[in-house]
Amino acid sequence: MTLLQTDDADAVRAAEPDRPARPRRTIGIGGWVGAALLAVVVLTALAGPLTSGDPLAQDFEAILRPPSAAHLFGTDELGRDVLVRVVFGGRTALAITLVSAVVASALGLSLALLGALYGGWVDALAGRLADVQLAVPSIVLAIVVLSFVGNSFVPIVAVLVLGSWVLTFRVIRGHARAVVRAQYVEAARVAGAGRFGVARRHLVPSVLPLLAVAFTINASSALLLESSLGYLGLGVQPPQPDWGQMVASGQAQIFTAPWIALFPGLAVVVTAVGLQLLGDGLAERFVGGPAVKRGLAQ
Amino acid sequence: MTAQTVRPLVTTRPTPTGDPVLRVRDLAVGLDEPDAREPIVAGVSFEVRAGRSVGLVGESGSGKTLTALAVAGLLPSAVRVDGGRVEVAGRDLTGLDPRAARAHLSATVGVVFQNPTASLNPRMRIAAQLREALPAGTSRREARARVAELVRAVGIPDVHKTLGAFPHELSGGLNQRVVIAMALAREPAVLIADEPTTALDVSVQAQVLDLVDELRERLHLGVLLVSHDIGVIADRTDDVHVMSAGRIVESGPTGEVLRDPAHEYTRTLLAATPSRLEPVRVAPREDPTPVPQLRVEGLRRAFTVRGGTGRARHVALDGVDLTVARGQAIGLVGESGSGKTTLARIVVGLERPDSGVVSYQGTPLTGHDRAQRRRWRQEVQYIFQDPYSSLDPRLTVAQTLREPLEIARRDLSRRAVAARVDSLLDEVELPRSFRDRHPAELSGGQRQRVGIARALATEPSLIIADEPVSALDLSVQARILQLLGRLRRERNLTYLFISHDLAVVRYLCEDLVVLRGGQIVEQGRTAEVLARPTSPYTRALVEAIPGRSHHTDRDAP
Amino acid sequence: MSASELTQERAGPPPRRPHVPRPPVSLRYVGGRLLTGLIAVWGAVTLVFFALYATGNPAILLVPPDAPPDEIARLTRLMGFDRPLPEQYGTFLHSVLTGSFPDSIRYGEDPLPIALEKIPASLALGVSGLVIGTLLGGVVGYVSATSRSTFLSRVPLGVAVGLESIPTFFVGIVLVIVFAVQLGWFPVTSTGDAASLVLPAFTLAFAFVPTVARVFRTALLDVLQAEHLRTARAKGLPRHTLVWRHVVANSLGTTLNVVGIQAGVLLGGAVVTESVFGWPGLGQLSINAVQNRDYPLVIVCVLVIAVGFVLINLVVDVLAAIVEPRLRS
Repeated sequence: MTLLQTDDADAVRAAEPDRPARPRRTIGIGGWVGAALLAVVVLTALAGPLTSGDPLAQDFEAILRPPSAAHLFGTDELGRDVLVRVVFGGRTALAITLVSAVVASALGLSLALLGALYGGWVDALAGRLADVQLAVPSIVLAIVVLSFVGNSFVPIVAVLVLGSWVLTFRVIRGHARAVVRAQYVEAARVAGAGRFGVARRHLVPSVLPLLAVAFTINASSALLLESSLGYLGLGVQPPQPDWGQMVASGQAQIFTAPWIALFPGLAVVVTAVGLQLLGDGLAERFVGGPAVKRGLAQ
Repeated sequence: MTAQTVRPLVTTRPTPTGDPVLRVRDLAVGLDEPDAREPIVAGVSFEVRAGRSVGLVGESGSGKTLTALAVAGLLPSAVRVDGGRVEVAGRDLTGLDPRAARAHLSATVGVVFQNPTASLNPRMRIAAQLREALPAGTSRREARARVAELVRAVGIPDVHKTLGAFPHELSGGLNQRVVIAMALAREPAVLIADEPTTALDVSVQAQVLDLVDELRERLHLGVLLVSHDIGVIADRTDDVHVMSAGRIVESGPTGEVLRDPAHEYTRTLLAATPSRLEPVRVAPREDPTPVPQLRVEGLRRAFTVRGGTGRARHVALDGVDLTVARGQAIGLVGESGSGKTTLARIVVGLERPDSGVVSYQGTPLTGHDRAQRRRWRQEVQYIFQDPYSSLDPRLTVAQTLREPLEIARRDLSRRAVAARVDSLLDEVELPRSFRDRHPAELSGGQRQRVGIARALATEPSLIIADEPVSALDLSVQARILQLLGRLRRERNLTYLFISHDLAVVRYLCEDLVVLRGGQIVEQGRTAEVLARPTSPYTRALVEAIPGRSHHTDRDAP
Repeated sequence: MSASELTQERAGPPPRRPHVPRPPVSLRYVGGRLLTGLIAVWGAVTLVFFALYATGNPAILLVPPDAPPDEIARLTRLMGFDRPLPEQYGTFLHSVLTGSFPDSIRYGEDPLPIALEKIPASLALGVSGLVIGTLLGGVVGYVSATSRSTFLSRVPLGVAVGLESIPTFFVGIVLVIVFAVQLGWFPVTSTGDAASLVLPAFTLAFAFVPTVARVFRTALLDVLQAEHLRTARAKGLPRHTLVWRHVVANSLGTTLNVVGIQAGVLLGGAVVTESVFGWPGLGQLSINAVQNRDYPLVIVCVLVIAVGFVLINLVVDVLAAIVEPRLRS
């Protein structure tokens, strides 16, 4: 019967009057692991050009070599070093992801804050925009924009931004609406605070931690979408290396040389896992548990 | 099911004192942890006889609800029964395996909870939920008839419509009747009612409690009534057990205990009952200016609400005129939906009227120039109902108190602001060391004191308070009311005090305005209105106040 | 038991129909949802139009690269690309409504039937993926919400949530490497039969599992805390009734709702899955059309996908309203 017992929160809380009510002040082991993974990925991508060779350099002496000391991740059908290509592919993927996530978070944040502060038609319009966004699946958007407009940096970022700003928007808006309606904000208004004062004293400070969480959600969604576009051939075009695109071209050699497709795919997974762990850690630190973040992310 | 069949079908004679249907001996309840600390409830013993009503009264955290849930076998998973014995309808539950205990309890105990709408499954129609409550094995045909009967028995007028409805389509009062019908479905011997009327309006409260009384007499039920409200206990129970900190501190016939409390705790609890507080009366000072401090004329406000049948206009205020003189304390009384909160919010500018004029010191708010507006902002302040959401959880007490000063008194130096914060804390009787505490580290009463201090920060002359004590425990409530009374005397404040509780208003306000459906139905001196209400609505409200009757007549064995 | 005290107290004929019969979901609700859907389709059409227009002369895109200039001129006149913008838009809407599109460049015939005949294959993949994913996600969500064992309440959910960090194409490729290449249980690329459906269906299912598991878990935890469950326990109902009627059924509405919101992401997952396995569905058709620069076919594919998406959303909304009466108003 245990599973069906309700938690009479009040009664139990009454029994423990001294329970500390403030969230714990650490991002936890998971959060640190995530941060470390991300740090490794980002540093490798940054340091790539300083150390290793050319991602386009072909070596017909060493075609389809399995991973070895000379080529840690093996080589592909043109004898290019997979490790070097993964490092350089990371530069492309991370740059696009980062720019998209920053723009998408900024867009989502500003629309959510404006909606919460001004209410009325501003809020209705922002909400309507988000609805429209959800009604147009990002894959449709990607096909239309990228096939007609082309697959250069700006259209790709535009597709990723349009496909993920709603995440931040929803997370922040839910919270901002609750804050603006809170009695302590009404108390500030009775004391004479204007919109700017309310935003500065109450809204922005309480939204900032959430923004950190929302940003990680946004970034991981943008990364997954970016690599999928690359895989589908809608994203960054060869010969410029990109993780998703490398998986697609490696798929042809999947019987003979699975490492060509595996390593770039693993790079996406490691980065996404890092973002997710960090996001959970941040959520636990600031919002009170990953479950809450999960609830917010929907 | 034998227990039921011996009960008389209809009882017209005065209820005889029957056999005990519920016996609790030395009940202990504790947290379900390996190294549990002190039990939350310990040494609780009482009994309920058929046809009698027993009250369990105490403040929040006293363990009264846990005791009731333990008896009903409905404890939350974090809590378990640590010891003692519970005997229901002649059968001892100790040592029974959980399944058998559950079966016996569900056949003999009906439970009514505090929050009626939340107590019903939102996804199921009322008929289905009632059918489910019938004893297993009831045939379809029989079930249909029984369900309709039950609904009629709890006095629901429109049987068909109610049965086909979902809980969210019914009012709280109706839902509570449905919950009671559900509790009766298996013809129990005991009815446990845990704060059954706390979430309801006063007039509905009285109806629901009348229904419980009627059913108790007619069906010869033993009733265990759990409440924080001494008035309800006084009116509705034969015996009472006063609980504090998980223990019963005093027991006896309700009349005797309330008339002549033996235990210290009972005495403080009784002294804190608003109807027993000596009303605050401030000698009217001569007002040098004949202009009323606040004047409201022809105020109208309607909201669009989305309901089950689409959008509807809800008229919150329908032409309200009100004049508040300097130094007056006016109580604004009405049930939920009467428009009292909307009126208050319009007066402080949190809401705009559709039409009508609010004038502060003779000038309409819309006609204020900058300086007048500034002054109005400083002089009119608001105290909120919910001490939990009225403080920003991220700010310390000092930061919260500084905010109005930083907005309104830019001329003050840092040091002067700090000094003001300290003196505000003194004024609301909080230690200065609370400066650096966060709201999470304060109790409800302490938070409400911070809320009051914040309202006082700009040295206002008119305070609008929206149910400032309704979320607080009785003893805390009394201390906050006394604080508000003292502040009014010392600072010559004008109060517009909103409450659903006539006793609270009687304590604090000389004048009374009764709102209903957005209109003023009665106004006058509080004492006169309470003694001789002229409108039928006010009379109903006054009659519905719990704790008016002293039922010594029912104490006879 | 049958002759209760209450009957004697207030005698009256038992009502014939205690229920006022009502349709589970009002036409008005469905109509409203349908209208929203139509607006979304219109939005997709408009998006396509402006994307076309942004390329300069759309006629050049809509004919084979080796087409003679008079063919371009003919199409320009036919589609009205030389007319003012609003008129062009009107012509475009009209041709969409009448289903008349320029011939597919690759196949040299009307693209609409080409796209429509791919629907059964996509539907087969979508439905099987959905069923597997919902069942897996449901079980994981249920176990993690209700199990008392720390292991069961954390590990399956952790795995499911971890799946979320793996892009669908990579899930597919790993499944291919393990089950097709190494173990040889299933074919590597699709032939369209049942055996070749297994890997794609599971790949798509894994795209659903994290969302379903997480949302269902949250919904269950909410219901497990709800006060009405205490009322149900007080009734002494058997355990399976409590679990199914009061806990699981009450969690479905929220779950469906969120899954509906995520449907766009899942649609992307379906397109990727078809691409990985060469599943002969709409998704693969549209990606191939993009790669072949077969723009008439791209337009038709996008519109068919948009209409399908709207219909899926409509079904989800209606289902959610059936299981959750509060959503109906």
